Amino acid sequence: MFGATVSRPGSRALGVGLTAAIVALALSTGYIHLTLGGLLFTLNALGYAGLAGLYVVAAAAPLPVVRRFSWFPRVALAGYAAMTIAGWAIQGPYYSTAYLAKGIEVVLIALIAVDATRVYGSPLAMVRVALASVFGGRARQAA
Amino acid sequence: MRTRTAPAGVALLLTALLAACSGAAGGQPSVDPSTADVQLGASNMAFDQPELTASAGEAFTIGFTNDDSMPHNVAIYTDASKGTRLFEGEVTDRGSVIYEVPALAPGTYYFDCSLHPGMTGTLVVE
Repeated sequence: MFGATVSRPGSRALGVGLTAAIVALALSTGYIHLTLGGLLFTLNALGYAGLAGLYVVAAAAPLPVVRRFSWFPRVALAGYAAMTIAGWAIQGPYYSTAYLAKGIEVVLIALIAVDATRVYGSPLAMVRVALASVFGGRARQAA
Repeated sequence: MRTRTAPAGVALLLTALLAACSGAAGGQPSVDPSTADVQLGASNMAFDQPELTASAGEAFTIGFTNDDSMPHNVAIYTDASKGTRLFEGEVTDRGSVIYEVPALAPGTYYFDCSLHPGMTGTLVVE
């Protein structure tokens, strides 16, 4: 159920644990941003909540179309966290709660990389699968 | 066994994170802002006065009181373009803090909250 493309024996429990940890981390940093108030931080929190929901759907839903695009929440959540870190690095401010949120986001990205490695073999392989799922179908249709 | 320990570990992680988040959003020791040279408050996502006045050529203190549930601070720039930041106070949760601002030349400066750029004001140094 959890994971998709290259499920390995005994990886289900790991998949459940990783998915739960990733969702927990995403919701935690989203919650921190929500407590900061203001439109930008509220939108950021909603983004984390939405992507965490997508992550669960991608990991748990057995539908073929969901499996085909199960890379999307992984790429989107990792990219979203990376952009959040980059935005903070440029803009600041640098204080304790911000460092906590960025620490959570770094761990979040690391766990997504571990999850991608578990499911696809490596983060790079996930990117290849993503490109194939988007462009591969069109290429085959054209041929 | 591993199947049972994984969700338990995740639950523990989630609890620890939420505890850490709650602690990080907690209060900070308050001081008496009335002892500062200038007083400024924040409530409802706005500063309580649009303009502050300070003496030129000497360091001064700002007694900042945050009455909001979200954190705020005061950052001072040369102008609204925020090209040069002259001072950035520590972000504070609900409560009061005293900022020690270095001496500024006579002029009109711009200040805002680093977290909420919509909260702005003008600092007149004369």
